[in-house]
Amino acid sequence: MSLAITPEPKDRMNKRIPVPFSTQLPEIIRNNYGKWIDRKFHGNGIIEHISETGDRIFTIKVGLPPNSRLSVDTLEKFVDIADKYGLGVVRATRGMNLEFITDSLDKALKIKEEVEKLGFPVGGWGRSLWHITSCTAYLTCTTAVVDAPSITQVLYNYLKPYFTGEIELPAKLMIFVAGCPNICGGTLAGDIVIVGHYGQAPKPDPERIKFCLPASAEALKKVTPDVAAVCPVGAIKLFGKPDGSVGIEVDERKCIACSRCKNVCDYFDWDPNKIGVAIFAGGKTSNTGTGPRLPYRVVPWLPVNPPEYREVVAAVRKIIDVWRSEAKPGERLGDYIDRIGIDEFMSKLGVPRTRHNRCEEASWNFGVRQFITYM
Amino acid sequence: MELAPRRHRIGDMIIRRGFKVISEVADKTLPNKPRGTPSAHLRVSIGAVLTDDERKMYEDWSRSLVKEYFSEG
Repeated sequence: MSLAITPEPKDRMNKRIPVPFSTQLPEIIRNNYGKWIDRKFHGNGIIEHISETGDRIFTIKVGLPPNSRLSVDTLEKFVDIADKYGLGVVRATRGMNLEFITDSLDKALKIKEEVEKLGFPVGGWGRSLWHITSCTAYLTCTTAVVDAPSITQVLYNYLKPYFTGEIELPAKLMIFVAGCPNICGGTLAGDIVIVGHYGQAPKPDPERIKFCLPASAEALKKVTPDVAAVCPVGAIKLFGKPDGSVGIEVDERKCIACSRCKNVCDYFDWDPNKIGVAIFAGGKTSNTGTGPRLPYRVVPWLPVNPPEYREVVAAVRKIIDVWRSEAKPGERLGDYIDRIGIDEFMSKLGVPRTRHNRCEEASWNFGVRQFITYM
Repeated sequence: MELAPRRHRIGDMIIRRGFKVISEVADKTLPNKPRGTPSAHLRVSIGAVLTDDERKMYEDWSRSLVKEYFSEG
């Protein structure tokens, strides 16, 4: 089989973007484009795709470390496996997994064996944990509140049997871990979403906050600085001082700790003991069951204690256990919560109810649902 | 056409200006137009400013869970 899927190096240098994507595809996939009619699972983590032409390919899904952080050495090993047993291509998924593609079940099982030898799990399809997606957090980010990848790693340590299919779940489960409320590493509309947040109102650094403010009270009359403009609840108030400089006040009663002010100004102080994570449950982006929806904030705050993050792991395991023990086959976490009611779900978790996790049932659907009522 | 203010994402613009922005920006010949008022879903605000008592409440709950799942306090 010819595998001329990339141009020669000299041509590669001259190629223009966008290149026709078909030139990037292995021949068997290019020949069967749009002709796939069926698929079959071979254990958890291997899918057979069947074409109307009779051709078949096999995709093997491999779980990667948090945030897909891989050494060049490991990547080279994956490349060797893809060259030796696969079609010479791999696909990085949105869920931070890696998919190998090959043309026979024997080779697929061999790929599974080889990556498992390297310590990577194979799985993540059907009624299982599909992925735990995480942002980069402290690796490159300036706004991270908690180290999302390390939380992801400890979660994987305990939830790996759900990924490999050793323990079956009622339906697919997607977990997202975000280091701050910006949620770059995924979406809030996940089955379980863990988001790091400050849990407190920001305290302006008395010495350096001036670098985020207009130089004078006179200048303040002409422009609203970003640090105040971005606050969604108007909790940040700027005012001119008698000496002509600009002062800043944060109203703690209004603040919702969204940390948008932190995005535009680094000169705020935070008490590290009040930093924590919120846990959301029951969201999804797919159109199955009750359709796409935002999740409930079931736990507004939990302490973060590295390196084991036991409080977070225990809370996630509790949510999964309640769902596993009572959900019907195929019932996503959000659909299960809908069936029994959010109050019942919260009481099964035993989580304290406060003003932060009242979880009203009204208007939880995505905005997109409003488009259904066309004029 | 009015541009969105600085740091406003598409969703922010829709909430600020209403669904009319869809026919203005996307397609003036759109046959069906969404109606109603888009909302910001503040219910799912991510952060939360907790009092010390509230924080203690969740800390105690998590401690009980740690005991349940890790067999130690």
